[in-house]
Amino acid sequence: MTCDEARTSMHFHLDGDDHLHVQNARQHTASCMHCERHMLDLREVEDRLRTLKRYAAPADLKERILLAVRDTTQKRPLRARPQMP
Amino acid sequence: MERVDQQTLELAQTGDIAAFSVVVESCADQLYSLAFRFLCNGPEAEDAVQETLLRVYTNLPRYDGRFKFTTWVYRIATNVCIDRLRKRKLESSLDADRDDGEAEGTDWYDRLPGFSPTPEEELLRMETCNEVQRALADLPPAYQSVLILRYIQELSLQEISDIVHLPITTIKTRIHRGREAMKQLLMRLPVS
Repeated sequence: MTCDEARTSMHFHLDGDDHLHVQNARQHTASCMHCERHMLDLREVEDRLRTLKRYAAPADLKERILLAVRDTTQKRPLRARPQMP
Repeated sequence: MERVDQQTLELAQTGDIAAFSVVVESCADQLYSLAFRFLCNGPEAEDAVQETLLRVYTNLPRYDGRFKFTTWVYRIATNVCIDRLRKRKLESSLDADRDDGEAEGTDWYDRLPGFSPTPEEELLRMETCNEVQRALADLPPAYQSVLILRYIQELSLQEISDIVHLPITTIKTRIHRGREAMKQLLMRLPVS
């Protein structure tokens, strides 16, 4: 397996797939310093994305939305599809 | 997003405001997080959440249960945010035509005369300078959206595929390329 192939397969590993090519990539990575580094970097990208903070919506936003909704008209439902006999 | 029970949903579909307030309560926080990561700007994220939930309310009678309700809401929210990013890009290219980069380095707050942000707003503003957020904002919207849905909203590949109406294989490709692009942006060797 080449480094390029291993780097493609690494992503499937991160997605939780376990195909043969993923297993081969794991073997390759265990013996290739550059690919091991690449894998660690990708894991770090994932970790850093996961640790971005989640914010609660400001309290007055919900109130504002419910006020605006009072002046909003809903669309009419689409006509129901004919039922199968 | 918290699950809204069927009865409440049906009431909201007939315009019941109390029932719709349950819907708002169930998803406002998640939508705000989503919009904030797309737009990197508190006030604009608030506008996007409001626009999303008004569209949800307007179209609710036509929601047919083919997809999960949260999937349907996420789809509307993602479209609202991507539209806003496109408009912003268009406006900034028009601005660039008018004055050659004179507004370089100014942001939303700088453009409001006499506006001094509160400590919380200042914190939000610093957070927007977070390098992960900046790298995310540098990606094309197609990659940005799958990464936000995957890592901020923690959705499954199947849910993301339902939200953006693309096959899972395409979602995977975008996540793979998105991760590589983020790696490039975040782990560039320091310039010496």
